[in-house]
This record gives sequence, structure tokens and C-alpha cells, in this order.
Amino acid sequence: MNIKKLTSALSLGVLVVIAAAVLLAAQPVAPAPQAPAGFTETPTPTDTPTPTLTPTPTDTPTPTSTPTPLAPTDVPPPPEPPASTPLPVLSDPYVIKQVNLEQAQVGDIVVFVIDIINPNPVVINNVEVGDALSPLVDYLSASVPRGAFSYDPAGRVWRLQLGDMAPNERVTISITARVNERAQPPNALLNTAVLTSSRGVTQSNTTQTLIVPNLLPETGRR
Amino acid sequence: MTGLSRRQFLGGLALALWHPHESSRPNAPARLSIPALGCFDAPVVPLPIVNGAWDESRLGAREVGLLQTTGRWPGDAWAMVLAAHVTLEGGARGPFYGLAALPVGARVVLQARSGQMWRYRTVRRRLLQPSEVKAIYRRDGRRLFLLTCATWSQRRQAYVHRLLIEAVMDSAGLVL
Repeated sequence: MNIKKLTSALSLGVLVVIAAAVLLAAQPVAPAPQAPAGFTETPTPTDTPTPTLTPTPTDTPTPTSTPTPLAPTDVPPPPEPPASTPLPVLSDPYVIKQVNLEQAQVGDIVVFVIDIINPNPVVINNVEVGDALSPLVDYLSASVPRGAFSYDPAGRVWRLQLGDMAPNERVTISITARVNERAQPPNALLNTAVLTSSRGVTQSNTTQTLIVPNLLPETGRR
Repeated sequence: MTGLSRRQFLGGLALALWHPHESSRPNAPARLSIPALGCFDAPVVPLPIVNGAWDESRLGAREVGLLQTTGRWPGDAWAMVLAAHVTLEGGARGPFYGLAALPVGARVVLQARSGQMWRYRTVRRRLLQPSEVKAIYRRDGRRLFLLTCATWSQRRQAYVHRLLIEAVMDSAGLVL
């Protein structure tokens, strides 16, 4: 009988052990997290997803703050409409003058090229360009793409009436003249064009052509 | 007139009258040396335009003339042009005698009134007709042109060409 008691006690013990083993086997899920306490479960990095959690919470709060700026921007819109209607800032038209010769001699042909540019997105009215030619040159001809051109020999003044200039329009004209006997070295032939329009008066740059001798010096004697 | 010849004095006076601010500039050229020609410290004087032409009659036998309307000093907007006689009356040699034989790469030294010295190297030689005036104007202040007469014509008893030597300022430029 004692033996029976012993065996039953042993079997009970075995059962307890098995039960405990079963429990232990069933628990691993839970202990797993504890396993990190260990070291092998480095997969903890897989837990790094936690960082993904941190951004979301911190970022989300800011968006909550953005709505506040939205509110103020909603306020200004009403005043903006009037600001969108301002007139464009207009610039004076450009007049750029160039000459084909930097040095010239009596009898040379000089060509002045004048560019007139409306840099504005709107029409400019009553555009007129003119210039008094230097007494050192004689007028020969002019090339103009449009407008009414005139030359007054008495005053040595040429004038081109362009009228309206379209937005961003560019007109290039050329005046051809011959250097006359009055041009003696070392005189300089200076020339500036003047433009008038509804925007006012604009002067071009001044071109300069140096009158040089007809012969090089003679530096030999015998 | 101590130290200055009458011609030099008049030349300086002429330059002062035409370009009142230029003759006194410290970097205005004062002396020219071309060692390969045996030309040392030739005085540089202004060669003005008188009655529509450069007045070479003002140029002394040993002087080098800086042509008016060309560059006025090293580094000016335009290249300087220095002219001198190749031969003198009686057949004597002028400062630029032998210029035609000057090799490319020859050294040219210009001394300013301030004492500064500028070094050039010859790079090119051209023979011009006397009427090719515009050939001497170059918008480059680092260039220097040396000009003299060339090609003696026995029949015309005159030089029928002009010799133009082009020199470029050394990268060093200034000689210290």
C-alpha cells in the first residue's frame, strides 16, 4: 500500500511537473518580452518601430498649431484683392546709340545705329527720336523700318516720329554720314540721340569717334 | 635750361597744353630701352598732332615719340605707339635702326616718370603703307607698338613703308 501511495504521489508529482512544463511552454509568448531582458533577443531592434511612434505624436501636435496661422491668413485675404490690381511700374524707353568706327579720317563713312526699345508691357505714345549731326560729318542717308523720318539740312537735325510703340517693341534705325573736311585730328566726333515720348525725355549714350591723321609719321631721313 | 634740351622742354610744354593732366602722371612713359638694338634709356617725348599730322619734326635724333591719340601710359585703354627715326640726316643711325631685324621675343623696357619699369616682349612685325593709320590703334593697354620707317626707295628718295613691331607686356609686367 505504501508503494501505491508512493507511486501515486510520484505520478502526481510528474503531473505537476508536466503541468508546470505545459504552463511554461504556453507562457513563452509572454516571457518572450522578458527574454529581451536577456541578450539573444536582439531582435529588439524590431521593436524600434517604437521610434515611429515618437515622431507621430510630436509631429501631430505641430499641425495642430498650424491651423492657427491659417486663421490669420484667412483674415488678410480681403485686403489682398486691392493689392493685386496695382499698375505696372513703367520704365523710360531706352535709346542706345552705336557707331561703326572708333577712329575715322576725312572722307570715311560713319554709320550710327540707334536702338529704341519700349521695355514696358504697355504701349508708349508719341515716341520721337532726333539728333543734331556733328558739323564734322555730312548726312548721306537713313534706314528706318517705320515711322516718319525727316532731315533738316539747315539745322543738321534728323527726326523720326514713331508714334505709338507696342509693348516690348524694338526699333533699330541707322544714319549714314561722311566725315568732312572740317574734321581735323585730333578732334573727336561726339554724338547723342534724344528721345521724347509720353514718358518724357531720354538721352542715349554718347558715341565717340576719334579723327586721326591720314598718314603715319615719317621717321627716316637721309 | 638745365638738364633739358630746348626741344624736350617744348615737347613737354606741348603735351602739358594738350593733356594738362597726362604729362604729370607718374606712370607716363619717360625712357625706353631695347637692349637687342643697343638702345638704352632713350627719352620718350610727346609727338603731337599739328595741322592734322603727327609732327615728327619735333622728334630729336635720340628721342622716341609717343604718338598723340594713342595710349598714354602702360595699362591705358589703348596701346601706346612709340615712333623713332631709323636713320638720320647724313646716314647716321637712329634709335630704331635695326628694328626690322629685331627677333620675336626681344625684350623692351619702358620706364615711367615715377621710376617704375614695365617689361614687354616683341610678338609680331608688320610692314604698313603710310596710309594704314588705323592699324596702330589697338584697344589693349598691355600692348606696345614700335614704329619707324622702312623700305628706302632710291627712285623716290623716301621710305615707302612703315615698320610696326608689336610687343606685349610680360605677365610680370612691372619690373621691381
